[in-house]
Amino acid sequence: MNKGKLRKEGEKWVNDGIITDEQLEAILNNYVKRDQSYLLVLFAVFLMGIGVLIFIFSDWAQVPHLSRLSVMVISMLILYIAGHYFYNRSSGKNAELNNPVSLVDPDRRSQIYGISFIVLGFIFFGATLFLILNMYQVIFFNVWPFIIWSIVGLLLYSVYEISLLFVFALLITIFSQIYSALAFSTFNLIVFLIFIFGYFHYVFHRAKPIFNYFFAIGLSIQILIATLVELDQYYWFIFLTLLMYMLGEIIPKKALKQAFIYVSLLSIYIFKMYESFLLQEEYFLNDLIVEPSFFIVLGIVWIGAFIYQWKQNRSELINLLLFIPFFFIPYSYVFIILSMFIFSIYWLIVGFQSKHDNKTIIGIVSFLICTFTVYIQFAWETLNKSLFFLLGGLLLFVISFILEKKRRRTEYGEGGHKK
Amino acid sequence: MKRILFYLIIMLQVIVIGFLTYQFEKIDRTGHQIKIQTLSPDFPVYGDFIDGDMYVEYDINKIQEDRWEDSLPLDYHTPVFVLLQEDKTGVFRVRHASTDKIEAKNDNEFVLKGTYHYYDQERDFHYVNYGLEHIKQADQFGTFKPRDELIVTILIGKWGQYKVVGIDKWNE
Repeated sequence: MNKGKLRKEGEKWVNDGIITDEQLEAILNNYVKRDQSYLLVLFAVFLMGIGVLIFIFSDWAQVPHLSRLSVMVISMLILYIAGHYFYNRSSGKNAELNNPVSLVDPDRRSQIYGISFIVLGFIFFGATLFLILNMYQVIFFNVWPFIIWSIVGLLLYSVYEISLLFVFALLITIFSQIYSALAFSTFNLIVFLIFIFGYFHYVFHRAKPIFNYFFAIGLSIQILIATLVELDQYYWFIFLTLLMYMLGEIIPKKALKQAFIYVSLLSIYIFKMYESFLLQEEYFLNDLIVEPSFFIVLGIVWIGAFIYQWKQNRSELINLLLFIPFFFIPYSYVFIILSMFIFSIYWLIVGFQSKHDNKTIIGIVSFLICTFTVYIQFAWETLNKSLFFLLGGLLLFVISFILEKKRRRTEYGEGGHKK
Repeated sequence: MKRILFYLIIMLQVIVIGFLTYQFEKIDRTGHQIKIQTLSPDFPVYGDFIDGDMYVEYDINKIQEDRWEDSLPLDYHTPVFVLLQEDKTGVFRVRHASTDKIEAKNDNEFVLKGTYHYYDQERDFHYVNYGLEHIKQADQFGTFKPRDELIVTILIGKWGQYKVVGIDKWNE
Protein backbone atom coordinates (compact mmCIF):
# COMPACT_ATOMS: atom_id res chain seq x y z
CA MET A 1 0.00 0.00 0.00
CA ASN A 2 1.02 3.58 -0.62
CA LYS A 3 2.70 5.05 2.45
CA GLY A 4 0.99 8.45 2.22
CA LYS A 5 -2.40 6.81 1.95
CA LEU A 6 -1.58 4.57 4.89
CA ARG A 7 -0.63 7.56 7.03
CA LYS A 8 -3.94 9.27 6.20
CA GLU A 9 -5.91 6.16 7.05
CA GLY A 10 -3.82 5.59 10.14
CA GLU A 11 -4.53 9.09 11.49
CA LYS A 12 -8.24 8.28 11.29
CA TRP A 13 -7.65 5.13 13.30
CA VAL A 14 -5.73 7.12 15.90
CA ASN A 15 -8.60 9.59 16.15
CA ASP A 16 -11.07 6.75 16.50
CA GLY A 17 -8.93 5.33 19.28
CA ILE A 18 -8.25 2.07 17.50
CA ILE A 19 -4.49 2.46 17.68
CA THR A 20 -2.12 4.81 19.43
CA ASP A 21 0.29 7.25 17.82
CA GLU A 22 3.27 5.04 18.60
CA GLN A 23 1.60 2.06 17.04
CA LEU A 24 0.90 4.08 13.91
CA GLU A 25 4.57 5.09 13.69
CA ALA A 26 5.62 1.50 14.20
CA ILE A 27 3.32 0.39 11.41
CA LEU A 28 4.49 3.14 9.09
CA ASN A 29 8.12 2.27 9.72
CA ASN A 30 7.46 -1.15 8.32
CA TYR A 31 6.63 0.42 4.98
CA VAL A 32 9.69 1.68 3.21
CA LYS A 33 8.96 4.36 0.70
CA ARG A 34 9.35 2.88 -2.74
CA ASP A 35 12.26 4.02 -4.76
CA GLN A 36 10.86 4.91 -8.16
CA SER A 37 14.21 5.55 -9.75
CA TYR A 38 14.15 2.17 -11.44
CA LEU A 39 11.46 3.60 -13.70
CA LEU A 40 13.90 6.14 -15.06
CA VAL A 41 16.41 3.42 -15.78
CA LEU A 42 13.75 1.29 -17.38
CA PHE A 43 12.77 4.08 -19.72
CA ALA A 44 16.42 4.79 -20.41
CA VAL A 45 16.84 1.17 -21.52
CA PHE A 46 13.81 1.36 -23.77
CA LEU A 47 14.78 4.66 -25.35
CA MET A 48 18.33 3.50 -25.97
CA GLY A 49 17.15 0.20 -27.34
CA ILE A 50 14.80 1.89 -29.79
CA GLY A 51 17.50 4.41 -30.68
CA VAL A 52 20.01 1.70 -31.47
CA LEU A 53 17.57 -0.27 -33.60
CA ILE A 54 16.58 2.77 -35.63
CA PHE A 55 20.21 3.80 -36.00
CA ILE A 56 21.19 0.37 -37.27
CA PHE A 57 18.64 0.41 -40.03
CA SER A 58 19.35 3.91 -41.17
CA ASP A 59 22.19 3.96 -43.66
CA TRP A 60 25.37 4.88 -41.93
CA ALA A 61 26.26 5.57 -45.51
CA GLN A 62 30.00 5.74 -45.93
CA VAL A 63 31.10 3.65 -42.98
CA PRO A 64 32.63 0.40 -44.27
CA HIS A 65 31.10 -2.91 -43.32
CA LEU A 66 33.56 -4.39 -40.93
CA SER A 67 34.15 -1.28 -38.88
CA ARG A 68 30.39 -0.84 -38.42
CA LEU A 69 30.24 -4.37 -37.22
CA SER A 70 33.17 -3.98 -34.83
CA VAL A 71 31.59 -0.89 -33.29
CA MET A 72 28.46 -2.88 -32.58
CA VAL A 73 30.20 -5.97 -31.24
CA ILE A 74 32.50 -3.97 -28.99
CA SER A 75 29.59 -1.95 -27.58
CA MET A 76 27.75 -5.17 -26.95
CA LEU A 77 30.69 -6.65 -25.08
CA ILE A 78 31.16 -3.52 -23.00
CA LEU A 79 27.48 -3.52 -22.06
CA TYR A 80 27.51 -7.17 -21.07
CA ILE A 81 30.67 -6.87 -19.01
CA ALA A 82 29.49 -3.69 -17.31
CA GLY A 83 26.17 -5.30 -16.59
CA HIS A 84 27.84 -8.37 -15.20
CA TYR A 85 30.08 -6.22 -12.98
CA PHE A 86 27.28 -4.07 -11.57
CA TYR A 87 24.98 -6.98 -11.07
CA ASN A 88 27.53 -8.99 -9.13
CA ARG A 89 28.57 -6.02 -7.06
CA SER A 90 25.03 -5.73 -5.81
CA SER A 91 24.72 -9.41 -4.98
CA GLY A 92 28.10 -9.28 -3.20
CA LYS A 93 26.75 -6.77 -0.73
CA ASN A 94 23.44 -8.39 -0.27
CA ALA A 95 23.50 -12.04 0.60
CA GLU A 96 19.78 -12.58 0.30
CA LEU A 97 19.85 -11.62 -3.35
CA ASN A 98 20.00 -15.20 -4.41
CA ASN A 99 16.27 -15.17 -4.67
CA PRO A 100 14.92 -14.19 -8.09
CA VAL A 101 15.24 -10.51 -8.69
CA SER A 102 12.18 -8.38 -9.00
CA LEU A 103 12.18 -5.15 -10.90
CA VAL A 104 10.58 -3.23 -8.10
CA ASP A 105 13.31 -3.67 -5.55
CA PRO A 106 14.35 -0.47 -3.85
CA ASP A 107 17.89 0.48 -2.82
CA ARG A 108 19.52 -1.72 -5.31
CA ARG A 109 20.83 0.81 -7.65
CA SER A 110 23.77 -1.13 -8.95
CA GLN A 111 21.56 -4.08 -9.48
CA ILE A 112 19.26 -1.94 -11.56
CA TYR A 113 22.22 -0.75 -13.58
CA GLY A 114 23.36 -4.33 -13.96
CA ILE A 115 19.94 -5.38 -15.20
CA SER A 116 19.64 -2.55 -17.67
CA PHE A 117 23.12 -3.04 -19.09
CA ILE A 118 22.60 -6.74 -19.60
CA VAL A 119 19.23 -6.14 -21.26
CA LEU A 120 20.78 -3.48 -23.47
CA GLY A 121 23.57 -5.89 -24.37
CA PHE A 122 20.91 -8.36 -25.39
CA ILE A 123 19.20 -5.72 -27.55
CA PHE A 124 22.57 -4.89 -29.10
CA PHE A 125 23.08 -8.53 -29.98
CA GLY A 126 19.81 -8.63 -31.90
CA ALA A 127 20.55 -5.30 -33.54
CA THR A 128 23.97 -6.56 -34.67
CA LEU A 129 22.40 -9.68 -36.07
CA PHE A 130 19.99 -7.64 -38.15
CA LEU A 131 22.75 -5.23 -39.10
CA ILE A 132 24.77 -7.97 -40.78
CA LEU A 133 21.70 -9.37 -42.49
CA ASN A 134 21.02 -5.90 -43.84
CA MET A 135 24.64 -5.20 -44.80
CA TYR A 136 25.12 -8.39 -46.73
CA GLN A 137 21.64 -8.28 -48.26
CA VAL A 138 20.43 -11.55 -46.89
CA ILE A 139 16.91 -12.62 -47.80
CA PHE A 140 15.44 -15.03 -45.32
CA PHE A 141 12.47 -17.28 -45.88
CA ASN A 142 11.84 -18.22 -42.30
CA VAL A 143 12.46 -16.44 -39.03
CA TRP A 144 15.83 -17.97 -38.18
CA PRO A 145 17.45 -14.68 -37.02
CA PHE A 146 14.63 -14.25 -34.50
CA ILE A 147 15.06 -17.83 -33.37
CA ILE A 148 18.75 -17.23 -32.63
CA TRP A 149 17.86 -14.07 -30.72
CA SER A 150 15.19 -15.84 -28.72
CA ILE A 151 17.47 -18.74 -27.80
CA VAL A 152 20.21 -16.35 -26.68
CA GLY A 153 17.66 -14.60 -24.46
CA LEU A 154 16.71 -17.88 -22.88
CA LEU A 155 20.36 -18.82 -22.27
CA LEU A 156 21.08 -15.45 -20.69
CA TYR A 157 18.07 -15.81 -18.44
CA SER A 158 19.26 -19.22 -17.31
CA VAL A 159 22.35 -17.52 -15.87
CA TYR A 160 20.87 -14.24 -14.66
CA GLU A 161 17.24 -14.40 -13.70
CA ILE A 162 16.27 -10.93 -14.76
CA SER A 163 12.52 -10.56 -15.25
CA LEU A 164 12.87 -7.72 -17.72
CA LEU A 165 15.17 -9.82 -19.87
CA PHE A 166 12.75 -12.71 -19.79
CA VAL A 167 9.76 -10.60 -20.76
CA PHE A 168 11.73 -9.02 -23.55
CA ALA A 169 12.88 -12.37 -24.92
CA LEU A 170 9.35 -13.73 -24.59
CA LEU A 171 8.00 -10.80 -26.59
CA ILE A 172 10.61 -11.42 -29.28
CA THR A 173 9.51 -15.04 -29.51
CA ILE A 174 5.84 -14.11 -29.81
CA PHE A 175 6.65 -11.42 -32.34
CA SER A 176 8.69 -13.83 -34.44
CA GLN A 177 5.65 -16.07 -34.78
CA ILE A 178 3.52 -13.11 -35.84
CA TYR A 179 6.22 -12.09 -38.31
CA SER A 180 6.40 -15.60 -39.67
CA ALA A 181 2.67 -15.50 -40.33
CA LEU A 182 2.73 -12.09 -41.97
CA ALA A 183 5.87 -12.40 -44.07
CA PHE A 184 5.88 -16.06 -45.03
CA SER A 185 2.34 -17.14 -44.12
CA THR A 186 3.83 -20.01 -42.17
CA PHE A 187 3.38 -21.18 -38.62
CA ASN A 188 6.91 -21.73 -37.41
CA LEU A 189 7.07 -24.94 -35.42
CA ILE A 190 10.56 -24.29 -34.03
CA VAL A 191 9.43 -21.01 -32.52
CA PHE A 192 6.47 -22.79 -30.99
CA LEU A 193 8.67 -25.56 -29.54
CA ILE A 194 11.06 -23.02 -28.03
CA PHE A 195 8.07 -21.20 -26.61
CA ILE A 196 6.58 -24.33 -25.06
CA PHE A 197 9.67 -26.17 -23.89
CA GLY A 198 12.06 -23.29 -23.25
CA TYR A 199 9.94 -20.45 -22.01
CA PHE A 200 7.21 -22.45 -20.37
CA HIS A 201 9.82 -24.12 -18.17
CA TYR A 202 10.67 -20.80 -16.56
CA VAL A 203 7.11 -19.51 -16.55
CA PHE A 204 6.07 -22.63 -14.68
CA HIS A 205 8.89 -22.75 -12.16
CA ARG A 206 9.25 -19.03 -11.46
CA ALA A 207 5.48 -18.42 -11.45
CA LYS A 208 5.59 -14.64 -11.66
CA PRO A 209 2.29 -12.92 -12.48
CA ILE A 210 3.78 -10.87 -15.31
CA PHE A 211 5.27 -14.00 -16.92
CA ASN A 212 2.00 -15.87 -16.63
CA TYR A 213 -0.11 -13.37 -18.49
CA PHE A 214 2.45 -12.64 -21.20
CA PHE A 215 2.85 -16.35 -21.74
CA ALA A 216 -0.87 -17.06 -21.84
CA ILE A 217 -1.53 -14.22 -24.29
CA GLY A 218 1.40 -15.42 -26.39
CA LEU A 219 -0.01 -18.93 -26.45
CA SER A 220 -3.40 -17.64 -27.49
CA ILE A 221 -1.84 -15.60 -30.31
CA GLN A 222 0.02 -18.66 -31.53
CA ILE A 223 -3.17 -20.71 -31.48
CA LEU A 224 -4.83 -18.04 -33.59
CA ILE A 225 -1.93 -17.98 -36.06
CA ALA A 226 -1.81 -21.76 -36.30
CA THR A 227 -5.52 -21.79 -37.09
CA LEU A 228 -5.39 -19.03 -39.66
CA VAL A 229 -2.24 -20.13 -41.45
CA GLU A 230 -2.01 -23.88 -41.20
CA LEU A 231 -5.54 -25.16 -40.75
CA ASP A 232 -8.15 -24.97 -43.46
CA GLN A 233 -11.16 -24.47 -41.28
CA TYR A 234 -11.37 -21.62 -38.81
CA TYR A 235 -13.31 -23.58 -36.17
CA TRP A 236 -10.26 -25.57 -35.06
CA PHE A 237 -9.57 -22.52 -32.95
CA ILE A 238 -12.30 -23.75 -30.59
CA PHE A 239 -10.54 -27.06 -30.12
CA LEU A 240 -7.07 -25.58 -29.58
CA THR A 241 -8.41 -23.01 -27.13
CA LEU A 242 -10.27 -25.73 -25.27
CA LEU A 243 -6.93 -27.53 -24.92
CA MET A 244 -5.43 -24.36 -23.49
CA TYR A 245 -8.35 -24.00 -21.11
CA MET A 246 -7.94 -27.60 -19.97
CA LEU A 247 -4.24 -27.04 -19.45
CA GLY A 248 -5.21 -24.16 -17.17
CA GLU A 249 -7.61 -26.40 -15.27
CA ILE A 250 -5.05 -29.14 -14.78
CA ILE A 251 -2.00 -27.03 -13.94
CA PRO A 252 -1.28 -27.11 -10.21
CA LYS A 253 -0.06 -23.52 -9.82
CA LYS A 254 -2.85 -21.15 -8.95
CA ALA A 255 -1.59 -17.95 -10.58
CA LEU A 256 -0.71 -19.72 -13.80
CA LYS A 257 -4.03 -21.52 -13.75
CA GLN A 258 -5.89 -18.22 -13.60
CA ALA A 259 -3.88 -16.68 -16.41
CA PHE A 260 -4.54 -19.64 -18.68
CA ILE A 261 -8.24 -19.82 -17.87
CA TYR A 262 -8.96 -16.10 -18.14
CA VAL A 263 -7.00 -15.61 -21.34
CA SER A 264 -8.52 -18.65 -23.01
CA LEU A 265 -12.03 -17.60 -21.97
CA LEU A 266 -11.51 -14.08 -23.23
CA SER A 267 -10.10 -15.25 -26.54
CA ILE A 268 -12.88 -17.77 -27.16
CA TYR A 269 -15.39 -15.07 -26.28
CA ILE A 270 -13.96 -12.59 -28.75
CA PHE A 271 -13.73 -15.41 -31.27
CA LYS A 272 -17.44 -16.09 -30.83
CA MET A 273 -18.20 -12.47 -31.42
CA TYR A 274 -16.45 -12.55 -34.80
CA GLU A 275 -17.90 -15.93 -35.59
CA SER A 276 -21.43 -14.66 -35.09
CA PHE A 277 -20.78 -11.90 -37.65
CA LEU A 278 -19.09 -14.12 -40.18
CA LEU A 279 -21.69 -16.86 -40.07
CA GLN A 280 -24.20 -14.46 -41.59
CA GLU A 281 -22.03 -13.85 -44.64
CA GLU A 282 -22.80 -15.80 -47.79
CA TYR A 283 -19.19 -16.09 -48.98
CA PHE A 284 -18.07 -17.35 -45.60
CA LEU A 285 -20.71 -20.06 -45.47
CA ASN A 286 -19.77 -21.21 -48.97
CA ASP A 287 -16.18 -21.92 -47.92
CA LEU A 288 -17.24 -23.70 -44.79
CA ILE A 289 -16.61 -27.44 -44.83
CA VAL A 290 -17.71 -29.51 -41.88
CA GLU A 291 -14.91 -31.89 -40.97
CA PRO A 292 -16.10 -34.91 -38.96
CA SER A 293 -12.66 -35.34 -37.37
CA PHE A 294 -13.16 -32.00 -35.66
CA PHE A 295 -16.30 -33.18 -33.89
CA ILE A 296 -14.68 -36.42 -32.82
CA VAL A 297 -11.60 -34.88 -31.20
CA LEU A 298 -13.52 -31.93 -29.79
CA GLY A 299 -16.16 -34.28 -28.40
CA ILE A 300 -13.59 -36.44 -26.65
CA VAL A 301 -11.75 -33.52 -25.07
CA TRP A 302 -14.98 -31.72 -24.20
CA ILE A 303 -16.45 -34.72 -22.40
CA GLY A 304 -13.13 -35.21 -20.63
CA ALA A 305 -13.20 -31.56 -19.56
CA PHE A 306 -16.81 -31.89 -18.42
CA ILE A 307 -16.08 -34.90 -16.22
CA TYR A 308 -12.99 -33.24 -14.80
CA GLN A 309 -14.83 -30.05 -13.93
CA TRP A 310 -17.80 -31.94 -12.55
CA LYS A 311 -15.46 -33.51 -10.05
CA GLN A 312 -13.33 -30.43 -9.35
CA ASN A 313 -15.63 -27.42 -9.19
CA ARG A 314 -19.11 -27.60 -10.58
CA SER A 315 -19.76 -23.90 -10.30
CA GLU A 316 -17.53 -23.21 -13.29
CA LEU A 317 -19.05 -25.79 -15.58
CA ILE A 318 -20.69 -22.96 -17.50
CA ASN A 319 -17.31 -22.11 -19.06
CA LEU A 320 -17.55 -25.23 -21.18
CA LEU A 321 -20.66 -23.84 -22.85
CA LEU A 322 -18.42 -21.48 -24.80
CA PHE A 323 -16.57 -24.40 -26.34
CA ILE A 324 -19.63 -25.97 -27.92
CA PRO A 325 -19.58 -25.37 -31.69
CA PHE A 326 -22.81 -24.16 -33.30
CA PHE A 327 -21.70 -23.27 -36.79
CA PHE A 328 -23.19 -26.32 -38.49
CA ILE A 329 -26.81 -25.66 -37.56
CA PRO A 330 -29.12 -23.15 -39.25
CA TYR A 331 -29.29 -19.71 -37.65
CA SER A 332 -26.16 -20.63 -35.78
CA TYR A 333 -25.39 -17.03 -34.90
CA VAL A 334 -28.49 -16.86 -32.72
CA PHE A 335 -27.29 -19.83 -30.71
CA ILE A 336 -23.81 -18.39 -30.45
CA ILE A 337 -25.10 -15.11 -29.08
CA LEU A 338 -27.44 -16.98 -26.76
CA SER A 339 -24.56 -19.03 -25.35
CA MET A 340 -22.52 -15.87 -24.84
CA PHE A 341 -25.45 -14.26 -23.10
CA ILE A 342 -26.08 -17.19 -20.75
CA PHE A 343 -22.39 -17.28 -19.88
CA SER A 344 -22.23 -13.59 -19.00
CA ILE A 345 -25.48 -13.55 -17.02
CA TYR A 346 -24.36 -16.58 -15.05
CA TRP A 347 -21.10 -14.93 -14.05
CA LEU A 348 -22.80 -11.64 -13.24
CA ILE A 349 -25.19 -13.36 -10.86
CA VAL A 350 -22.61 -15.66 -9.33
CA GLY A 351 -20.13 -12.81 -9.05
CA PHE A 352 -22.53 -10.54 -7.19
CA GLN A 353 -23.86 -13.28 -4.97
CA SER A 354 -20.48 -14.55 -3.92
CA LYS A 355 -18.95 -11.03 -3.88
CA HIS A 356 -16.03 -12.45 -5.73
CA ASP A 357 -14.39 -9.64 -7.68
CA ASN A 358 -12.78 -11.74 -10.38
CA LYS A 359 -16.04 -13.47 -11.18
CA THR A 360 -17.91 -10.18 -11.33
CA ILE A 361 -15.32 -8.83 -13.72
CA ILE A 362 -15.73 -11.85 -16.00
CA GLY A 363 -19.48 -11.22 -15.90
CA ILE A 364 -19.26 -7.50 -16.64
CA VAL A 365 -16.69 -7.76 -19.42
CA SER A 366 -18.46 -10.63 -21.13
CA PHE A 367 -21.82 -8.94 -20.76
CA LEU A 368 -20.53 -5.77 -22.38
CA ILE A 369 -18.97 -7.67 -25.29
CA CYS A 370 -22.14 -9.67 -25.72
CA THR A 371 -24.39 -6.61 -25.70
CA PHE A 372 -22.17 -4.90 -28.20
CA THR A 373 -22.27 -7.92 -30.46
CA VAL A 374 -26.03 -8.04 -30.39
CA TYR A 375 -26.23 -4.33 -30.92
CA ILE A 376 -23.99 -4.36 -33.97
CA GLN A 377 -25.83 -7.39 -35.34
CA PHE A 378 -29.28 -5.99 -35.24
CA ALA A 379 -28.98 -2.25 -35.22
CA TRP A 380 -25.90 -1.35 -37.26
CA GLU A 381 -27.57 -1.34 -40.63
CA THR A 382 -30.93 0.11 -39.75
CA LEU A 383 -29.77 2.87 -37.45
CA ASN A 384 -27.90 6.02 -38.21
CA LYS A 385 -24.20 5.76 -37.25
CA SER A 386 -24.22 8.62 -34.77
CA LEU A 387 -27.29 7.17 -33.19
CA PHE A 388 -25.32 3.97 -32.79
CA PHE A 389 -22.82 5.59 -30.49
CA LEU A 390 -25.47 7.56 -28.64
CA LEU A 391 -27.61 4.51 -28.00
CA GLY A 392 -24.51 2.46 -27.20
CA GLY A 393 -23.54 4.97 -24.52
CA LEU A 394 -27.07 5.03 -23.19
CA LEU A 395 -27.17 1.26 -23.00
CA LEU A 396 -23.95 1.22 -20.99
CA PHE A 397 -25.41 3.78 -18.61
CA VAL A 398 -28.48 1.65 -18.05
CA ILE A 399 -26.40 -1.44 -17.47
CA SER A 400 -24.11 0.27 -15.02
CA PHE A 401 -27.14 1.72 -13.21
CA ILE A 402 -28.77 -1.67 -12.84
CA LEU A 403 -25.53 -3.28 -11.73
CA GLU A 404 -24.85 -0.54 -9.20
CA LYS A 405 -28.37 -0.83 -7.81
CA LYS A 406 -27.99 -4.55 -7.50
CA ARG A 407 -24.60 -4.13 -5.86
CA ARG A 408 -26.07 -1.79 -3.27
CA ARG A 409 -28.91 -4.12 -2.61
CA THR A 410 -26.55 -7.02 -1.97
CA GLU A 411 -24.31 -4.84 0.15
CA TYR A 412 -26.89 -3.00 2.24
CA GLY A 413 -29.78 -5.40 2.14
CA GLU A 414 -33.32 -4.74 0.92
CA GLY A 415 -34.16 -2.06 3.45
CA GLY A 416 -31.16 0.08 2.66
CA HIS A 417 -29.41 -0.59 5.95
CA LYS A 418 -25.91 -1.85 6.01
CA LYS A 419 -25.82 -5.49 6.93
CA MET B 1 30.47 -21.15 -12.19
CA LYS B 2 27.90 -18.51 -13.01
CA ARG B 3 30.62 -16.20 -14.25
CA ILE B 4 32.06 -18.84 -16.55
CA LEU B 5 28.64 -19.62 -17.96
CA PHE B 6 27.93 -15.96 -18.53
CA TYR B 7 31.18 -15.45 -20.40
CA LEU B 8 30.53 -18.60 -22.40
CA ILE B 9 27.17 -17.23 -23.51
CA ILE B 10 28.73 -13.90 -24.47
CA MET B 11 31.41 -15.77 -26.43
CA LEU B 12 28.70 -17.77 -28.13
CA GLN B 13 27.03 -14.57 -29.32
CA VAL B 14 30.27 -13.21 -30.71
CA ILE B 15 30.92 -16.54 -32.43
CA VAL B 16 27.46 -16.53 -34.01
CA ILE B 17 28.02 -13.04 -35.36
CA GLY B 18 31.56 -13.90 -36.48
CA PHE B 19 30.45 -17.10 -38.18
CA LEU B 20 27.65 -15.40 -40.09
CA THR B 21 29.92 -12.55 -41.14
CA TYR B 22 32.55 -15.03 -42.35
CA GLN B 23 29.94 -16.93 -44.34
CA PHE B 24 28.61 -13.75 -45.90
CA GLU B 25 32.06 -12.37 -46.70
CA LYS B 26 33.08 -15.34 -48.76
CA ILE B 27 30.20 -15.05 -51.23
CA ASP B 28 32.58 -13.87 -53.97
CA ARG B 29 34.19 -17.31 -53.98
CA THR B 30 31.31 -19.62 -53.17
CA GLY B 31 28.26 -17.76 -54.54
CA HIS B 32 26.44 -19.04 -57.58
CA GLN B 33 26.37 -16.51 -60.40
CA ILE B 34 23.21 -16.04 -62.44
CA LYS B 35 22.11 -13.49 -65.01
CA ILE B 36 18.51 -12.39 -65.09
CA GLN B 37 16.68 -9.98 -67.33
CA THR B 38 14.60 -7.00 -66.26
CA LEU B 39 11.42 -5.91 -67.98
CA SER B 40 10.63 -2.46 -69.21
CA PRO B 41 8.41 -1.12 -66.48
CA ASP B 42 4.67 -0.88 -66.59
CA PHE B 43 4.64 1.03 -63.37
CA PRO B 44 6.63 4.27 -63.09
CA VAL B 45 8.60 3.45 -59.95
CA TYR B 46 10.38 0.49 -61.51
CA GLY B 47 13.64 1.03 -63.30
CA ASP B 48 14.12 4.39 -61.71
CA PHE B 49 16.88 5.55 -59.47
CA ILE B 50 16.02 6.63 -55.97
CA ASP B 51 19.11 7.86 -54.15
CA GLY B 52 21.24 5.64 -56.37
CA ASP B 53 19.08 2.61 -55.62
CA MET B 54 16.98 1.05 -58.32
CA TYR B 55 13.71 -0.87 -58.24
CA VAL B 56 13.30 -3.26 -61.11
CA GLU B 57 11.00 -6.00 -62.27
CA TYR B 58 12.43 -9.19 -63.78
CA ASP B 59 10.88 -11.50 -66.28
CA ILE B 60 11.26 -14.27 -63.68
CA ASN B 61 8.83 -12.39 -61.45
CA LYS B 62 5.95 -13.22 -63.74
CA ILE B 63 5.29 -16.92 -64.02
CA GLN B 64 2.67 -18.36 -66.37
CA GLU B 65 0.02 -20.72 -65.09
CA ASP B 66 1.38 -23.77 -67.00
CA ARG B 67 4.73 -23.54 -65.23
CA TRP B 68 3.23 -24.28 -61.84
CA GLU B 69 2.86 -27.63 -60.16
CA ASP B 70 0.39 -26.50 -57.51
CA SER B 71 -3.25 -25.59 -57.45
CA LEU B 72 -3.36 -21.85 -57.76
CA PRO B 73 -3.60 -19.17 -56.56
CA LEU B 74 -1.58 -19.68 -53.39
CA ASP B 75 -1.83 -17.64 -50.22
CA TYR B 76 -0.12 -14.29 -50.23
CA HIS B 77 3.52 -14.63 -49.08
CA THR B 78 3.72 -18.41 -49.38
CA PRO B 79 7.36 -19.44 -49.92
CA VAL B 80 7.88 -21.03 -53.36
CA PHE B 81 10.79 -22.64 -55.20
CA VAL B 82 11.44 -21.58 -58.76
CA LEU B 83 13.63 -23.66 -61.05
CA LEU B 84 15.56 -21.47 -63.49
CA GLN B 85 17.28 -22.70 -66.61
CA GLU B 86 19.97 -20.97 -68.62
CA ASP B 87 19.09 -20.19 -72.22
CA LYS B 88 21.50 -19.85 -75.18
CA THR B 89 22.42 -16.28 -74.32
CA GLY B 90 23.35 -17.21 -70.76
CA VAL B 91 20.29 -15.59 -69.17
CA PHE B 92 18.25 -17.63 -66.70
CA ARG B 93 14.53 -18.12 -67.37
CA VAL B 94 11.77 -19.80 -65.40
CA ARG B 95 11.32 -23.51 -66.09
CA HIS B 96 8.83 -24.32 -63.39
CA ALA B 97 7.70 -23.32 -59.92
CA SER B 98 6.45 -25.23 -56.92
CA THR B 99 5.83 -24.99 -53.22
CA ASP B 100 7.75 -28.25 -52.76
CA LYS B 101 11.49 -28.23 -52.72
CA ILE B 102 13.10 -28.62 -56.17
CA GLU B 103 16.70 -29.68 -56.81
CA ALA B 104 18.80 -28.35 -59.67
CA LYS B 105 20.00 -31.25 -61.82
CA ASN B 106 22.91 -29.65 -63.62
CA ASP B 107 24.95 -26.46 -63.96
CA ASN B 108 22.47 -24.88 -66.33
CA GLU B 109 19.79 -24.95 -63.69
CA PHE B 110 19.39 -23.00 -60.52
CA VAL B 111 16.71 -22.99 -57.83
CA LEU B 112 15.68 -19.61 -56.50
CA LYS B 113 13.45 -19.13 -53.50
CA GLY B 114 10.74 -16.50 -53.48
CA THR B 115 7.36 -15.64 -52.04
CA TYR B 116 4.10 -15.82 -53.96
CA HIS B 117 2.34 -12.50 -54.27
CA TYR B 118 -0.70 -12.40 -56.51
CA TYR B 119 -2.40 -13.55 -59.68
CA ASP B 120 -2.83 -11.00 -62.45
CA GLN B 121 -6.01 -12.06 -64.19
CA GLU B 122 -5.83 -9.64 -67.10
CA ARG B 123 -2.38 -10.62 -68.24
CA ASP B 124 -2.51 -14.13 -66.85
CA PHE B 125 0.59 -14.54 -64.74
CA HIS B 126 1.40 -15.26 -61.11
CA TYR B 127 3.71 -12.75 -59.51
CA VAL B 128 6.57 -14.07 -57.36
CA ASN B 129 8.80 -11.81 -55.34
CA TYR B 130 12.45 -12.78 -54.77
CA GLY B 131 13.77 -9.87 -52.74
CA LEU B 132 16.21 -9.12 -55.57
CA GLU B 133 14.03 -6.35 -56.97
CA HIS B 134 15.68 -3.62 -54.97
CA ILE B 135 19.24 -3.04 -56.20
CA LYS B 136 21.24 -0.96 -53.78
CA GLN B 137 23.69 1.59 -55.17
CA ALA B 138 22.89 0.63 -58.73
CA ASP B 139 24.46 3.85 -59.98
CA GLN B 140 27.92 2.35 -59.54
CA PHE B 141 27.24 0.22 -62.64
CA GLY B 142 26.33 3.12 -64.92
CA THR B 143 23.21 5.13 -65.63
CA PHE B 144 20.12 3.52 -67.02
CA LYS B 145 16.81 4.79 -68.27
CA PRO B 146 13.54 3.26 -67.16
CA ARG B 147 12.91 1.84 -70.61
CA ASP B 148 16.22 -0.02 -70.83
CA GLU B 149 15.98 -3.75 -70.61
CA LEU B 150 18.84 -4.80 -68.42
CA ILE B 151 20.77 -7.95 -67.67
CA VAL B 152 21.55 -8.09 -63.97
CA THR B 153 24.36 -10.39 -62.83
CA ILE B 154 23.81 -11.60 -59.29
CA LEU B 155 25.79 -13.80 -56.94
CA ILE B 156 23.55 -15.94 -54.77
CA GLY B 157 25.00 -17.31 -51.56
CA LYS B 158 23.98 -20.34 -49.59
CA TRP B 159 22.35 -18.43 -46.75
CA GLY B 160 19.90 -16.53 -48.92
CA GLN B 161 22.37 -13.76 -49.39
CA TYR B 162 22.79 -11.99 -52.71
CA LYS B 163 25.13 -9.50 -54.26
CA VAL B 164 24.66 -7.65 -57.51
CA VAL B 165 27.98 -7.72 -59.40
CA GLY B 166 26.99 -6.16 -62.72
CA ILE B 167 24.24 -4.50 -64.70
CA ASP B 168 24.43 -4.41 -68.50
CA LYS B 169 22.07 -3.22 -71.18
CA TRP B 170 20.45 -5.91 -73.27
CA ASN B 171 21.61 -5.97 -76.91
CA GLU B 172 24.88 -4.26 -76.16
